[in-house]
Amino acid sequence: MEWRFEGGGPIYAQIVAAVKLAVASGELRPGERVPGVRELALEAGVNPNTMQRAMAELEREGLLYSQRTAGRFVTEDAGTVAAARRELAEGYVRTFLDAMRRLGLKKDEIHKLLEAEKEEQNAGTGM
Amino acid sequence: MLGKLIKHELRATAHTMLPVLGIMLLVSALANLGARLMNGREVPAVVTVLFTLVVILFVTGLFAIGLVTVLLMVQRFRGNLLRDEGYIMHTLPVSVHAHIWSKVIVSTLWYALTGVTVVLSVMLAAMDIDFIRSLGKMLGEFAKLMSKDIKNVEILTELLALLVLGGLTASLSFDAALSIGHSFANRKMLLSVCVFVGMIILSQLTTVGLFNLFDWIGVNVELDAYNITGFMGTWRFACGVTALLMTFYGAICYGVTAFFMKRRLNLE
Amino acid sequence: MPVLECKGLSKSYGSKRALDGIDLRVESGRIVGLLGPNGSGKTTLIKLANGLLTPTQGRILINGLEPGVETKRAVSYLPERTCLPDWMSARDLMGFYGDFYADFDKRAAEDMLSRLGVDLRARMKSLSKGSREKVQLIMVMARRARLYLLDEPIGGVDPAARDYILNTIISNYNPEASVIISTHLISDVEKVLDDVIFINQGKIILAAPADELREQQGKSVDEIFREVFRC
Repeated sequence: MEWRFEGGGPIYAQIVAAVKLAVASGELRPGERVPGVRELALEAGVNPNTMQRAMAELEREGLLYSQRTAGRFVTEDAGTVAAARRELAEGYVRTFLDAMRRLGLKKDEIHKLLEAEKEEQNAGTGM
Repeated sequence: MLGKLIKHELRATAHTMLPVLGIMLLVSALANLGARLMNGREVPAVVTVLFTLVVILFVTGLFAIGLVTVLLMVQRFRGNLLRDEGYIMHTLPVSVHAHIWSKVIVSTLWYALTGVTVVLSVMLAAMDIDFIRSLGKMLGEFAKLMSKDIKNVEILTELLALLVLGGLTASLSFDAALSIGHSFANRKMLLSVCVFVGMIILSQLTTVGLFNLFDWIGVNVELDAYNITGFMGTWRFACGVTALLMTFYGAICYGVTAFFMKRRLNLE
Repeated sequence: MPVLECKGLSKSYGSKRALDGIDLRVESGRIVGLLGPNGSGKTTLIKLANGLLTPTQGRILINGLEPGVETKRAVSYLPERTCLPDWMSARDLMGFYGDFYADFDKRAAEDMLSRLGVDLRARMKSLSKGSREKVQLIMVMARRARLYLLDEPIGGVDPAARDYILNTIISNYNPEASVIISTHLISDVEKVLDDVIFINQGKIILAAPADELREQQGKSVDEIFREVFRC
């Protein structure tokens, strides 16, 4: 995984979001083993305590689960993954709509734009 | 921990001191060789010039080596405890007292070895068959002298003990001057030298003052001691007074050094 | 018991106050940033904790004890400048640290040195300034100390060296220990900090968990620092 952190917002929350995205997008597969806290902390260049806190939060949300000796794994529950995906998608849509509204676009204008963009993309990829 | 400090101190000083002493001995051997080579023989001018230089080096070395050792020990104390390396040394789990003792003991050891080197150098420069013969004779006489009267052994031991005490006291006085001088923000070395000169003047004045005091209360120290106890007694008395004065002076220097390193350390 | 505690701690140099009545507690298991501009009192505080200076007023305690032989056993200190004796090799240094510190992990030091590619027999004098700095950090971090005091560990180094230094700190740090990193380069270290302490003109302006600050103010510690210390 690649780690990048933004200015504001707690680091641990940013780690949680990044892992959630990786799970939702399938970059981290269900049942895949997650590296140890220390290793992850080194990889991301963050404090091990912060990484620990993020992992605990992800476990609490059910995206990861830990087995006493074997380590920590990505959830195999398709429902949880789907829910995470949906939650993230909704977030993006909300951000998008917020931006459009700020630009003063109406609902039907937004629809039209989306349609046009879709056609262009289809043409571009030759599909 | 004192043992570890001394071990480390020996290693750190040996890598400057051993070459110095080694070179002195080498120059002495070369001077010897030169003297013999040129003894009543025709040699090329280059060789004459070369060996004249060696002899000059030998004579200068003989006089300068003591000063070199003192300067190297001063430099070591300053560099290791009062400058950048002090950040490492003063954060070791070791007391200031152990630091001072390790420095003073190792310095005194090098002073002693320098003395031995000077004696060896003179012998080495003068070495030939005659010399070895007369050296054997001298040693024999020395042994005889020592075995004749136990007092002679005592005198020798006391003399050596005084020398060691002198080395310790001298080291302590350098260290005290350095630690005072380096507690200032600027011109640390210049101020250290000034402090050292001041300390010498003060100690001289105190000694003179002390003897004047005795005079004033009507005791002529030297004469009275001789009249009462004879030669051996006077010798003992002189040794005792000297040792006492040196110990007193050394103790003050020790206290000052410890105080300034504990409370007034000013690295940088 | 806090690893480091200051109570009304002041230090004056002549008439100049370098630290002015500081109260502070650092608990174990934290990586703490001691952040402030140059001349704010960071180095003075760290020197006091090491017993290199004595307080003018107040107290400073390490594991409940005043700085002394006992606390020096538990504290691993990286001075602001490199000060390894230049005639010593990395192997000499390991012998030296191993002799004086019971908590020195020689294996770990050897590992780190070999990864750095330092010739164990090369004298410090023959190494580059950057390598010497790293060797000194390795000696400091190879100890299993209770408290690490790192004075400006990333001052004036390139980004690659900075990453190396921060990784060395993170990978050697153990959860019972605390690390105090003094620096004025906040953006470089803020990812590794649990807590931040802002210090200016000898006074503590703010002390809080880093993530709490970022959450409350919606800004990075670096941005908050710039606002607090705006000229």
